[in-house]
Amino acid sequence: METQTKRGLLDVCVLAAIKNEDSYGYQIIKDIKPYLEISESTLYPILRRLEENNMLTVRSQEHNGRLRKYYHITDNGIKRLNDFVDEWQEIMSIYQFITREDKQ
Amino acid sequence: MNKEEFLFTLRNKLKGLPAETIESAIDYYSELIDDAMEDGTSENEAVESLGSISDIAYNVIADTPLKKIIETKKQNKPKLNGWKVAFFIITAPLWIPIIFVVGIISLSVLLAIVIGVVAVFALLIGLTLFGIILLVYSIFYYVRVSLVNAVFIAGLSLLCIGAGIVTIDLAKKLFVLIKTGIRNLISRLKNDAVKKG
Repeated sequence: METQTKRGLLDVCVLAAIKNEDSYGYQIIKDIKPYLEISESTLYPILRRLEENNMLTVRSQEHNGRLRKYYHITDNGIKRLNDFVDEWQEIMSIYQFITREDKQ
Repeated sequence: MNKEEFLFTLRNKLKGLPAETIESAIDYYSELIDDAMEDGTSENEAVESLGSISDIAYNVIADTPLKKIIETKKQNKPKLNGWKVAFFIITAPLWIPIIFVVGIISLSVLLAIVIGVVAVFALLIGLTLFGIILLVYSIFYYVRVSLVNAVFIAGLSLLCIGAGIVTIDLAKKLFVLIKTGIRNLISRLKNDAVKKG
């Protein structure tokens, strides 16, 4: 996939991964991997950026005697997801325009 | 490579970044390795799957604003500690005269060069002027004494003027040569100072 497209999609995928319940780094990667190629080092800057833009919040919680960071989606993050779904309607019509049959 | 080694190497590569940025990255990768191991991956495999440490460090550095990096650099600037200051003061009787002598010597060498150049120019200008005066004098000489002597004096004066003009040109070239030489020397000293500093 083109890198520019992928970058935009990755942000949304990370938000989607924490949409229903708070999640942590390893689990987020595991959830996204079947759909979109993502590595540990690509997730890190995305999480920081989403936090800076108030799309998610971070909290540390003890797990097996160590701290694990859980990411929680904010209202801004939910709005971003909804916007993406709306945008997708447009993208679908563009897709139909691109793939339409040639009229003979 | 095990987790300890990985985190140690990563921390080293992130040296110079704000402490908060380093800790955040270390926490993130430490947690990922722990979670992968909990998921049944071996420690070495978990570390391997993260990819090259240089790439990871590069990404973290690239993601840190330049302003933050510069601020951290300023804060980390080494300060003169007490021992160094004491050492400088104790050895002052030794290095102050050395600096003084070196300074005086280089100053006198520079002065000698300048005086030499000025003297050469003065001599050549003098020679040319002398030639011109001699030429004027030869006309008077012709009127008052004889043609042969006047021609001889005129020839002598032309020789002086010619020699003066030719050598002034040479002296100019020499002067430029000395000037660029000194300039090159100064810029080289400056470069050395920056490299050491």
